[in-house]
Amino acid sequence: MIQGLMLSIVFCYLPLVLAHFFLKTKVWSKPVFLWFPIVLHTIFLIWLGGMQHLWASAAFGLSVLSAVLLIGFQILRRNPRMNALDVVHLPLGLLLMILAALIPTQENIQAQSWWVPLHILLIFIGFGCFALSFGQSLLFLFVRHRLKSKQLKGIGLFPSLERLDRFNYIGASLGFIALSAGVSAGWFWAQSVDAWKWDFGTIGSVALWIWYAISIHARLIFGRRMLWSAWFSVIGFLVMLVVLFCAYLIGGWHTGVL
Amino acid sequence: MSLFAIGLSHKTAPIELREEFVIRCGDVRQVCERLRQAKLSREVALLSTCNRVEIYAVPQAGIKIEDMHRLITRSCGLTSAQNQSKIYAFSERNALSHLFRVASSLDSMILGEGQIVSQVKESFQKATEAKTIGPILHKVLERTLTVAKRIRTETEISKEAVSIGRAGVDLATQILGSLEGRSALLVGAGEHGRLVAANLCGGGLSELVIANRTFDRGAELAKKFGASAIPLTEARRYLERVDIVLASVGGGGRLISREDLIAVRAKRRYRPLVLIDLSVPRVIETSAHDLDGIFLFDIDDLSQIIMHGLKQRKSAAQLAEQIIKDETEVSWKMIQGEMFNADIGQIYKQTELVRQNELQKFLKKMEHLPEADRVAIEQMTRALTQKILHNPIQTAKNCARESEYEQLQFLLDAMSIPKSKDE
Repeated sequence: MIQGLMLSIVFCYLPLVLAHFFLKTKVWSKPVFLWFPIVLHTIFLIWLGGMQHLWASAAFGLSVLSAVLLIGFQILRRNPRMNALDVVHLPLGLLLMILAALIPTQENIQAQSWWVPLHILLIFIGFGCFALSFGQSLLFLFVRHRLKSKQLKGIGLFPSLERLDRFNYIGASLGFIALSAGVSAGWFWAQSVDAWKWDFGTIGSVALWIWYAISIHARLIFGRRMLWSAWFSVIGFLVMLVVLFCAYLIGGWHTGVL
Repeated sequence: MSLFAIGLSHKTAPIELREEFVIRCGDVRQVCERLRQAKLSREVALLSTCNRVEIYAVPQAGIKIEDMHRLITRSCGLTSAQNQSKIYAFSERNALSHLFRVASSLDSMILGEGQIVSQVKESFQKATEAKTIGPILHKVLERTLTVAKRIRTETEISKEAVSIGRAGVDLATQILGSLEGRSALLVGAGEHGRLVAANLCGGGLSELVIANRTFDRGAELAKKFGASAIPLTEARRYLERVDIVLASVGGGGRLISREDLIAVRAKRRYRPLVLIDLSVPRVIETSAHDLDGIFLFDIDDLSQIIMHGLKQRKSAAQLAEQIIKDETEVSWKMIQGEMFNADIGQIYKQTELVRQNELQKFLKKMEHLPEADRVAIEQMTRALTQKILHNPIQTAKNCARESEYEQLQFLLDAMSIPKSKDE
C-alpha cells in the first residue's frame, strides 16, 4: 500500500515534469501547478512518519530529500532566471522519488524517543539542502564554462554567477546547520540509551559534515568562493549519494541500532 | 469617419528634409489650426522625434487622404514631386497598424529601442493639452500603448543587447549580478570605454574611477560622469578594490599583466573581477582570462553579443508583426465603434440645432402666444424629436455594439441631416 501511494505521488509529478520540458505551451510549467503534488507529497510524508512510524526507512529518507529539493526549487525559481535550474532539480527530484517508491519499505519502528525521528528528519533535510546546492553548482559550472570559453550567445538566459554562488552558499549553510543538528540529535539519543558506535552511517555523516565545514569556513575565512565552493558542493553531494547507496547495500544506515 | 497618418521618417527622407518639415509644420496647435481652417480634420496629434515627423488625424466626413496630403505638403513647402514622394500617407486600419509598428519600435532605426513609447505618449499628451484630440485619438493612443506593452512582454524585441554599452553591462551583470554597490575603473578615455562606462553608471554602478594618460582630460571626463580621476600610473593599485575594469586606451603596451592579477586575487578575497578590454591593440594580458575569478573580454566578445542580439530582435520582430496584424483588426473595430458613437452624438446635435432653428422661426411668427404656450410648444418639439430619434438611434447603437458597421453606416447616412446655411 505504501509503495502504491509513493507511486501515486510519482505519477502526480511525472506529467507536470514532462509537460514542463516537452510541451510547447508553457502554461503547465507555471510554478502554481507543481505546488499541488508537493502538498500531497508533504501530507504523505507526515502520514508515513507520524502515523506509520516509517521514518527509519530508506524510502522515507529519499522521499524527504526529494520534497526538500522540489520545495527549494519552487522557492528559488521566484528569482530572475533561476528557472534555468529546472534541468537539474526537476529530474533529480523525480528520480529520488522514483527510487523511494521502488525501494521496499522496512518494517515500522516504534519510536523509543523523539530524538530518533528528529535525527532522521534533520539529516535528510540537510541532504536536501545539499542537493539544492548541487543543482546550483552544476549550473554555475556550466555558465562559468560558457563565459570562460567565450560562448556568449544567449548567456543572458542564465542566472548571474554571483546569484548562483550566493544560493549555493545559502543551501550549503542551511544543509550544514541541519546536518549538525541532526548528528547532535542522534548523539543525544545514542548517549541516552548507550548505543553510540562508529558504524558506517556515523562515519559517513561526520565525513560529510567535515567536508561542508571546510567549504563554508574556507569561504568565511579566506574568501574562497565561486569555483571552489561549486566543486565542493558537487563532490559533497556525489559522495553523499555514494554513502547512501553503500548504506542501502549493507542493509542500513546504522545496522543493528535501528 | 476615418484615421489618417501622414509623415516622413529616417527610412524615407534625409535629415535635411525632416528638419525642414518639422520647422515648417510648427507645433501641434499650428498643424491643427491649418487643418481646421481647411475643414479637413476633427482631431489631430503630431509625433515628432529625431527620426520621424508624423501627423495623425481624424478627418471630417468625406475628406480623402489625398486632400490632406496635398494640404500638408503645400503648407510645409515641400512642393517638388521628388519631396512629395518622400511623404507617406496611410488611412484607416493601415494608419493604425503603422502607429502600432512605430510605438513597438519595429519602424525605429534601432529595432526594439525603448524610447519611442514615451515619445508617442508625450506627443499625445501635448495634443491633449492643446485640446486638439478627442475621444477617437484617445482610444487610438490607449490601444497603441496596450499593443506596444504586449509586444515588449510577449516577444524578446528589446531583451538582448545591440549596442557596445549595453553588451558591456550585460556581461558585467552576468558575472556580478546587480551593479548596485559595485565599483569600476575606466582606464583611458576611448569612445567605446566611455560608452560602456555611461551604461554602467546608468545601470546603478556606485563608484567610477577614471585613470587617463592625460590627467586633465581624465578629470574632465570624471566631472561629466560624477566620478573621480587618478593618474594612469595609479591604476594597478585600484585592481584590489574595484569589481569592473574597462580599458580603452590607444597606443598599446601592457597596462595589466597576468602577474598583477594573480597578486591581487587573494587580497580581493577571490571576489570576481570583470575586465573589458576595448583597446586595439589590447592592453590586458589575454592569458589572465584563465585565472579563477578573473573574466576578461574584448571588443570581439561584445560584438558576438551584439550580433546575437540583432538576430534575436529580428526574429522577435516577426512575432511582433503577427501580433500587430491581429491587434489591428481587434483595435480597428473598437475604434470604429468609438467613431460611430461620435457620429451618433453628432446626429443628436444636428437634430437639436434644426429643432431650435425651426422653433425660433415659428415663435417669431407667433409672437402673440402667451409664455406658457411657448414653453409648452418648446417642450412638445423636444419630446417629438426625441421620440422620432429614439428607435433609429437605439438600432444604430445596437449595430455599433454588434460590430455591424455596414448597416450602421447605412443607417447614419439615412439619418444624416443636411447642414443649413446658418451653420
